[in-house]
Amino acid sequence: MKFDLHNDSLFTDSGEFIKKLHCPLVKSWDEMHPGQRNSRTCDACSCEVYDTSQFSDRELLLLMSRNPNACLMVSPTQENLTVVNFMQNQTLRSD
Amino acid sequence: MFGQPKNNPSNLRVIKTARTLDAINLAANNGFRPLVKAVVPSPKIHSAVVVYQHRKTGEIVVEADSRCSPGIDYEIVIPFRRFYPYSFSEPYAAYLVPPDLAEGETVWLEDLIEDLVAVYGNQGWHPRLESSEAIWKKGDFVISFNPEKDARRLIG
Repeated sequence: MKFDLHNDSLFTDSGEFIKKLHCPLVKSWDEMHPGQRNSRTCDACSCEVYDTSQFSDRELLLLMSRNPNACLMVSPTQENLTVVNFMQNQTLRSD
Repeated sequence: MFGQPKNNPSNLRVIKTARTLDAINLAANNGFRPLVKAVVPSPKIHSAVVVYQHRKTGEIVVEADSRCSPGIDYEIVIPFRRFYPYSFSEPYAAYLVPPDLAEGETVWLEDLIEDLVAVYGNQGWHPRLESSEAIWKKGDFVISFNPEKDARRLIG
């Protein structure tokens, strides 16, 4: 998957939009309780927050199609992520 | 920014940085002691890029991911390479040390002069640390940051 620094959005490797990440509560992953497999529970809104390092692109797309409001966690050091930091990058698309 | 520590989470005293001759001397004339350091780009800090060009139209596509190609109508004109993505106006800068700073005091360095890696990302993305906590010890700041442990995660 790819993370676009300029709009905090997550895409698949082929450029398919997954989610724009934004939490107004500014919660910390370390403060959350272990939830179901590959997730933690946020006390503020009782949502499951999914660790994207444990998902494939296809699995994340499926997750978001079933629950468009699912919360995700992205770490800049995770192995399955490429950070895209070019405003002029034209290959990402959100449609 | 993603990967960087939160801005002064402990509400520490903020140490400013001056990056021009005039700004440094102005601070000195206002009671600060400029701690002058060289601005030295680190080879450990880089981004990466590959540039494709359309064979017929000449338009280019810039990618930061070596796995992706815009298609057979494009050819690589700049192979995947690392580069230093920052620029500074002068080769020197100074932390502006207030006269009452105590030995051992923990502060927030708002604009780091030293080039430290903030994140060891994959595919060549190693941004520099922008700000950090630091401890004032024996006339210098000891920066407290572990990129593996302290790189911020994004939730949403």
